Amino acid sequence: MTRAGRLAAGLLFAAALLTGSATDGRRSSASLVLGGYHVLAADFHVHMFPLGWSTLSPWDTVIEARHQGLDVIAMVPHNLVWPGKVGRWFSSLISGPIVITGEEITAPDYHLLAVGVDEAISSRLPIIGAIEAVHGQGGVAIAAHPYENSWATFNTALGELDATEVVRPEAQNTPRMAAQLREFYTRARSAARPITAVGDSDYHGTGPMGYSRTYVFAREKTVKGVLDALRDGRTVVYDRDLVFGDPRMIQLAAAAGGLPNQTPEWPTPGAARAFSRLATLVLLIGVLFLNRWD
Amino acid sequence: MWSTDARILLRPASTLRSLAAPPLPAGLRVACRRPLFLTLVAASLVSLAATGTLTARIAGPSLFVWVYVPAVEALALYAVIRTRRTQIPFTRAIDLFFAGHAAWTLLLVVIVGLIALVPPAHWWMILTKVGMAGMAAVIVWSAFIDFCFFRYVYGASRARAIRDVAFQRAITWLLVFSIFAAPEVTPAGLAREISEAVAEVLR
Repeated sequence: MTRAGRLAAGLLFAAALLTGSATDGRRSSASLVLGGYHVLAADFHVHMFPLGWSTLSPWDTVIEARHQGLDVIAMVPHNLVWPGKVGRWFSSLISGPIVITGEEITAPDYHLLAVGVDEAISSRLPIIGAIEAVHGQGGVAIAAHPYENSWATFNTALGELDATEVVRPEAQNTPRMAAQLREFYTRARSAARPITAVGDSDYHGTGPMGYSRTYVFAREKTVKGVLDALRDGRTVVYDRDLVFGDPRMIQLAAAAGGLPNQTPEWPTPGAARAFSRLATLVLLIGVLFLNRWD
Repeated sequence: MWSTDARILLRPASTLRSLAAPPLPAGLRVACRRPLFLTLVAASLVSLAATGTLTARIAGPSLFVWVYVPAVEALALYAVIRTRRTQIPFTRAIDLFFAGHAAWTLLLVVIVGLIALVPPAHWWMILTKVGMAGMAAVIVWSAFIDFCFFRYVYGASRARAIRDVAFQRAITWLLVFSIFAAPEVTPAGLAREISEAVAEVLR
């Protein structure tokens, strides 16, 4: 690559960065009060770097949550808690979203979101023991991706679980997976203790955080308010034209003209964004194959 | 016309043999240029995957986070070649070693490019089928490139070069994977993470 070629590559990179940054708009938060409840957009299944199979650091994860209009996130590393505490601390510095610390208890036969815990819970516990440990710390136990292969375990804990994921990004695009989540939710709702509907993105740094999200109807905009709402079932979750959750809250939302239930567009729309991503890809491959460095 | 990286990707043995001969440019700039380019690629791809565009908000901080991967690779390389008697300066060795990174870089660009360009309905197929098939091919071909690096740049015997590749990869992958993914940095914990990941893919 000649000197002129390098200059052109540098200018293209700058143009891609400028257009990408300029069109990196923030999604607005729901910021509604309905029937005396604060309606908060939440994602209770967010992973982060390090140790979590995710690409974004705890601070970038918090900033991304704010960009996606989320009022609440639960940071749930696999079998750990401390990276979420870093995110909570950072969010308090920037007046960011409510960050609830937690853990995705990743056992061979189940994955359980322990939302609102400060100490790691062993993944060697059986499901009932894990849920008891979550409740012992004042947290909420959410069945994570309860697909058919984990039903044998989750079915033994139907009366103990607080909530279950009924909408997830991959299921929004795969009818077979969506049917399994809905079947488990329907079965769990008819258990002795009704279960709360949750929509999560299981965020690993790919695509929009909150692609699937939960609208929480909280009495107060605090961690306690959110956890209480989850325990009491006060959530609404959309999957395009379908809606899950507390019938009273669904009615409240409908009477107010509905909540912002549209799924984020991906690839992100607009000519400037398309230019930014295409220019970046062309540039990286171009430099790799054409720049001689010496 | 083509870069050194592209020539090593296509003809690793002859290209590395010729590059091991003088003149041998060296120095900090030579040692840092390709690892820093790899860091820039990683940060750009993190931004594309998260937002669909290149944004300063994500790419900037990600530079500082993802520099750990080339740093670990360079450390692992040093661990392997530290006792070798050679006329190749270590700064030049780093440069040549990272010039053999094109297969991995290309795979990452293709996978993240596809994710940024197509709707989420196709992501699972991209990550599992394209990603897994591409990774299998890249693991094999990049191992051959690294084998050629130790064989022709350091003059190692075939057996020694194979051992060098295995040692360098063991250190790199163990550290990179532990920092990226594993809450328990023990052999059992790592094995569990990998088996969990495979189970997720096969689900």
